[in-house]
Amino acid sequence: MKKLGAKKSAVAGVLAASMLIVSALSGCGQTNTPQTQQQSASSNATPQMGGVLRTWKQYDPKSLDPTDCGDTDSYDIQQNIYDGLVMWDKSGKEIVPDLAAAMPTITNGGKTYTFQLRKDVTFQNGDPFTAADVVYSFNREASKSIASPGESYFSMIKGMDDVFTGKAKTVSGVVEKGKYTVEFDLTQPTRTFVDVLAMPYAFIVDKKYTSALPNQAALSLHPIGTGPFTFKEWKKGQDIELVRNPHYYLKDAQGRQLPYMAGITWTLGYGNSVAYLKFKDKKQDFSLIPTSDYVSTLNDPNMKNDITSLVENDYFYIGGNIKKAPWNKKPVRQAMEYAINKDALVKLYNKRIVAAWSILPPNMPGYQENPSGYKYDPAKAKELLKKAGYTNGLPGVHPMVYVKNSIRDVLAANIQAQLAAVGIKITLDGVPFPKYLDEVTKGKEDMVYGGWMQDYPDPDDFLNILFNTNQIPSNNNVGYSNPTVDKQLNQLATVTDLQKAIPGYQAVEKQILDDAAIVPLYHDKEAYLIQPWVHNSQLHPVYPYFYYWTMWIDQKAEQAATKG
Amino acid sequence: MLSYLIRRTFWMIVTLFFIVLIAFVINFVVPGNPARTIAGPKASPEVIKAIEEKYDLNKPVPVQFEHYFVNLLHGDLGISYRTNESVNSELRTAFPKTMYLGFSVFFLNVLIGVPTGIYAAIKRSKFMDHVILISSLVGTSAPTFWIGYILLFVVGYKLSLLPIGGYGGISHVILPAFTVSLASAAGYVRVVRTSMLEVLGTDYVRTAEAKGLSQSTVILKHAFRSSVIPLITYAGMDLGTLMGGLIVTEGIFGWPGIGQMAVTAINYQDMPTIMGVVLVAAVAVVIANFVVDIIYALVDPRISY
Repeated sequence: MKKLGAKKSAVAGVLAASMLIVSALSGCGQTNTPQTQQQSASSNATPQMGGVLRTWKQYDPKSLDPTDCGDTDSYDIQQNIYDGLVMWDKSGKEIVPDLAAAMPTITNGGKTYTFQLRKDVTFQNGDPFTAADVVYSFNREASKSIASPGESYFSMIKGMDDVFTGKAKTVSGVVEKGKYTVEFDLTQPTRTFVDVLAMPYAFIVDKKYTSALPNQAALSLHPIGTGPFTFKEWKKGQDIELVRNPHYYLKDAQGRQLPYMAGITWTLGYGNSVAYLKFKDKKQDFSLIPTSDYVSTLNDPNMKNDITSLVENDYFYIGGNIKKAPWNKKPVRQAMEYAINKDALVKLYNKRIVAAWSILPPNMPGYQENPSGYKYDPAKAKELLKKAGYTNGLPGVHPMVYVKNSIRDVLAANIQAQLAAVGIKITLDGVPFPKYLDEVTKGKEDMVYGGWMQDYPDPDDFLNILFNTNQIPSNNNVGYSNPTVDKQLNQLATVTDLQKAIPGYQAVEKQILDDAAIVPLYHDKEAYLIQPWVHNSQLHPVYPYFYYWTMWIDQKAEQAATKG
Repeated sequence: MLSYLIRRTFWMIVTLFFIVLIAFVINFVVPGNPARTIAGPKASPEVIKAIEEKYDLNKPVPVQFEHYFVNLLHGDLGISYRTNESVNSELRTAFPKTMYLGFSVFFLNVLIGVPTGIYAAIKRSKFMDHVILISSLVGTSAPTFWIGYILLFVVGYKLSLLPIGGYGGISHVILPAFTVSLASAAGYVRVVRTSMLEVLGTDYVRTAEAKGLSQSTVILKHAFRSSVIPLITYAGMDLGTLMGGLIVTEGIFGWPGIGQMAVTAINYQDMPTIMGVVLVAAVAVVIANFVVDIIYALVDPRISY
């Protein structure tokens, strides 16, 4: 998805530094790898209807308009208001139909996707949902005047870019084939097409309602979709209220109408430490754990059961700019692979991260724990530097650019000390996110300490975007270029079945690490607090936060607890 | 007086113009492309171009300034890059909340600072004077975020006397107002104490005492009145600053004022919003200055323009 501007970031388009703070969580469900422990409060009790979830966000979301849903805060709220044609299932491994009645039929050699739509869906204002709304929504996403930051995710749809650049009026590749049938025509077969359809930019809006708005920016303040909760009010800087949509089309396995909860209220504006106090005071159902309180919370017999945690689909790394000396020498880069004690970083950050020896994170299809078999071995690092001709360490001092925040400053200082121990001298260049982007997306940096978070769980989203030569310098910041790897990546992107592509991606990942393009450092491990009376608090596997529509509140338990 | 008013108004406008100009230019000096920040790293060059066109960012800086300035003269502060909403309407929502907190702080400052300052002056060099001076030094030096969290933890969480953060009525404003006031009331104490000490040493105060007037009459009617000019200057500047938004305190307590707006906007390179907040803060300070000058003439017959 994008560079991590700061502690977790955007869903898709934009990563504002303002998101620096709020965590995106991605990961997986309860059945996944050992790294993922979802200890969410689940119970066999029958879900109860009613009750309002009192949750929190530090910052106002950027927008409640899907064309502007580039950050996790916006996504967290929008996913309740809108639906897309498809969505990620709870395991985070599979895409399932949402507004579509079934997965699409794929014809024309993988270039035509035909969706049959559900016929039982209405928007929250009562308007029926039809194919015309789908066509309208994609044309809106392509609109030049709206200038959606996510438009380029959909470039594979025929005519999408032409509308965006003003060459055409309507998107030729999204066609209404009947009241409940939509056809997408692609310029070339693209496996990740259904992945991008599950992104928030592809949420469906009500044509009749939205096209009648006085201006398109008004949708953000008065959003209407087909989702489980209906927008009620947004008091800027104070709170956002959603209430249950009684006409939501999904039912649970027992035939009960979803969602269970009567509403969701996010209070806004204050930081983590205050949210944590409010959680302890039972005034809030959800909180993050401040770093300073992390260890004590884990050991607190009352609170440790309230923690839901998982490893996110992101990764942080350091790397030298391979276009510049001395990083153009492979032994120098390999020396760095052996120079960093990642466990020290994990300890330094109170175990809120897990050490990374691979590029793909643990919950990503194709994950391998340590494909190139590197380990922490400073003696070996020195030896490799000698081999490269640097007996007394690397000459010069190398500035390492990164997005400044209090945590990264600490980790970067530790990395600096570790590299110095093997003879690589660096200086720390912590900068605001806009400046960071400006430097690394132009390939101007000497060294970078960066991060990446998925848009969707497909290895293509990490390996192709970060290491293909055609991504230099905008996303391939370190300037890694290997023609064999490029060829493989381009070929793998067109394989329609991901399972068949995985061995190829694993080989590519190993090659990239053998070339020591970057040094993987860690993956984020997020921990959320959720009150024990909130049940089924399933974390969303791909994007952060919860599946709010299957959560329910034991109101008696809540009353008993908050009274006491 | 009229010619003074006209001159002052003229210079106020000139000052504001230069503030707008400088603030505008600074936005372009800082590194980073706002369109790139909005679009994120993965966006195609076409997306960046479209965003630049949408917000006029593809035009030369002088042209952009001209657009901005002409709109400003029409009272239009532009559209926020972050939210796509009009900066005017966002300020209309946030500024009254900043005023609410600002006036609460101001009220506490005067309520705490003035009597304490007078008391310290009367007890000059006595034990209580030292206690007051030392505590005001501590108050000024303690970081706001620290005081804020301590108050939240003790008063809000441990004692459950007041809400833990958030915006609302009197009960919500007490803690953030105290947080600021604990530091800023100290300034009032010093100003009042110093000017009172000067006046207390003058002949007419001694005369008043010699006449046998009660101590309270001497202090309040004779001494305090003549020592009030520095206090007005100080209070006027204080009020102006408070209206510019209390960035740290608003952040801690989740107070949705213009200080919070500024922080989000700066993180996002949201130039129209940054400019809007800067402008409001500047206008507040300039007007406060102006009002202080007028009040001088009203309270002190010796001053005329």
